[in-house]
Amino acid sequence: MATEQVEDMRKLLPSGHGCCPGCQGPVATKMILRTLGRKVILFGSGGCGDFTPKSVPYFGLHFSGVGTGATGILAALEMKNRKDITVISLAGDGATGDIGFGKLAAIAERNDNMIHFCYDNEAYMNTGIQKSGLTPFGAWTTTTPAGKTTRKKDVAMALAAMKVPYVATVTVAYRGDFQNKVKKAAGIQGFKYIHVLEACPTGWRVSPEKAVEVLRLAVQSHMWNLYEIENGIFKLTMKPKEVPVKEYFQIQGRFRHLKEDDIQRIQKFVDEDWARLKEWDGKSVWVGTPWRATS
Amino acid sequence: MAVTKVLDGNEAAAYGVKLSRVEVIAAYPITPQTELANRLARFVAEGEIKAKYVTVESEHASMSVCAGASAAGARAFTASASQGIVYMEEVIWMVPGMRLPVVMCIANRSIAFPGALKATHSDSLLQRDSGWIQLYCENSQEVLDTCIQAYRIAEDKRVYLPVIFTQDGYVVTANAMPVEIPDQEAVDNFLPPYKHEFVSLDPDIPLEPEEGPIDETETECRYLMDVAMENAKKVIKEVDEEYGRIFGRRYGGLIEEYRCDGAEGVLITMGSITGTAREVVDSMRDRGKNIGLVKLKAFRPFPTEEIRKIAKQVGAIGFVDRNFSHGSAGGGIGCIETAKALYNYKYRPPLLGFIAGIGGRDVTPANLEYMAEKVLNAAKTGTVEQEVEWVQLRR
Amino acid sequence: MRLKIKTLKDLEKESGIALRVTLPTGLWRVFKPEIDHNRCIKCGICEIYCPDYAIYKGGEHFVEVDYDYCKGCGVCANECPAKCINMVRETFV
Repeated sequence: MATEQVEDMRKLLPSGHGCCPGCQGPVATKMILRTLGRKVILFGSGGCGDFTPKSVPYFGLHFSGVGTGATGILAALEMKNRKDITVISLAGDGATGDIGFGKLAAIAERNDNMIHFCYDNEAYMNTGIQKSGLTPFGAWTTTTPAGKTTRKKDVAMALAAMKVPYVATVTVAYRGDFQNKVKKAAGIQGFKYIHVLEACPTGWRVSPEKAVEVLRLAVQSHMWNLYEIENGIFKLTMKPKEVPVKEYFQIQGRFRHLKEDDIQRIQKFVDEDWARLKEWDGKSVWVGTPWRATS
Repeated sequence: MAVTKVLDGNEAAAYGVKLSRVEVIAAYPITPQTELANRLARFVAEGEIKAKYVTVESEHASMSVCAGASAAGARAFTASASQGIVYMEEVIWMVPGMRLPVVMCIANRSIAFPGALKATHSDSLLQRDSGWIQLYCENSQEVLDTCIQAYRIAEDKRVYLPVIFTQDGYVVTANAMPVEIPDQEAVDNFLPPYKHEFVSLDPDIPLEPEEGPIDETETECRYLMDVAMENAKKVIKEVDEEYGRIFGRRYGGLIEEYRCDGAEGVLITMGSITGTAREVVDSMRDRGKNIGLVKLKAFRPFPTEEIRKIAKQVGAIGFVDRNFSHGSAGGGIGCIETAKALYNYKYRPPLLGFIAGIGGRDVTPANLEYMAEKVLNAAKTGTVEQEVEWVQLRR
Repeated sequence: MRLKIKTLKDLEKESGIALRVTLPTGLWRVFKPEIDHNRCIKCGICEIYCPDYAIYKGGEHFVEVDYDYCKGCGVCANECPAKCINMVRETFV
């Protein structure tokens, strides 16, 4: 897949869209297209991500069929012998992790040659902040007003277990890391999955100007870890200076109701997870090796 | 060179797909269409069809794949039946709205519950509002011919609507008959390569930035689809005419009239019941009873003008519905559509609704003769004793 | 979806209502970013993080703000390492 640097992003992504002030979705799209250039076809699936009008070819289908339309586009491009076009599939966390999880698993199994970006704002934001499988433990949403009682669904590791060639977690606040991973993914054949954590000031109840700062705190407090799994080898790409989770919760309204013992419990989860990831660093997380036909 | 082989409906559809030079195939197996999916996979693996066969994990995905492929410029095909159709319903509605010329084969099967593995037309008739053109096939030969015609109709610039062609589950899909497979070159002359006039996903074509949200245009979009359906009536007739000239087989366009000259009453049938009905009409005519038969090939667009022409010359009409619509205004879906077609028309002969063949129950010559007698009676008396009758009820 | 609906222009002509304009999102803001170009260190971070693509390069200074579309979210001011962007309350007199 060709990648080309684009300078003036306003040629590809015009302003005047309906996203909330401070929304990081458009920023993620900007970073992706800046790295991949204009020879792309975007396949989008509902949710807030759909608000951004684009002047690259964009095919929007129903949001429950995550990525499957992109499979069709890939099949057509193969028949027309167009190897120069990158196909990207964008979906929110609800589409990727809940309603479309089966579709994503099938695409992973077929190893279709696309990059799937999950725009994770940690709830069904477009319909008004309802809980999704990827909402973190304890968060307020309109359907879990007393705080979510289950932990965040780990879609990235689930797909890694399905032995796809490349899985990565990124966030907008660490832009160098983001762009490196997108570039790396563009050079790999097969199904690539990149999970983007992005802040929703409206749903997270954070002041819009702190939208990027809260993401930085997410990584520093280990509520979100940046790693990549290339051919099964796990690698932590960011070992940040650490802050307690309390600092991450303090600037967000959706965690304001958490009591001290909840915060301690979450700190314990987070510490255990981080310790486990550090153990895995540099090792293979696959069970066995996948066999794939090379032609 | 045209060859003749003994094929059942599934195999004939596979040959139709092969001759139409389909480029992307995504079909999830479901009884009674499984053999079609298998046959296509074998064709692709053996190199007889140059296409990408996507093994999808559900019918929902299969239609999404076809929509994506069609938008990106490839000819796409999928097939399904009852539960699969209902599962992909969400995507089925998106395809005509996007004016993508996808062709789908529905192997009619009853929808649960109770459901059965055998033929009922509910699954294809369920799509009647969505904007898909629907063509009903009587036997394997017609399935093959209709598949090729379907792409020609769907990709016509005046239409750009997706097409469903159906075959009754088990009765057509699994019954073999001699089928003439036309020559590939002749089909290539008849069916040019696919190029959509106004939908393209090519990044090389420069685009202006898309501006702002547009939600004011649904009414106009839907109206334009209505216009396209009207055009489709003309296009279906033209395509059938041309196909008949080149390949020697005509199906009458939207409807086929069988021995309707001088008929006092007609039965209207859809799908494989027509085959039995022809025999019954012949036998009754030999005995001096003037019954005629109308085969309704196109259910969407509904052939209003043709039905009106029939109504003008007969004394009574009986619609044999292989479907049901619980709580409807009276009878099955075909009967209700015919009623509306004739409501504001000057000639409105008595209209009887018969419901038969549900759950794949065999519509026998005896059943058809019973219905025909009822129609002829109505033509004689000019009244309708029973508006809707469930013909094969086991009391 | 790049689907050209023929009647969109006709609709506009008939109804006289512009149907194809972008949202004038500049009208949403309460605070407006003002860049002090003398203290700007030309790192480009504000341009990278603007969600509305309203900060652009290639104008008179290193970066310029397109006030037609800026929603006043303040991410640029918060992220600027030189702290040279001020969010000023806008008044319409």
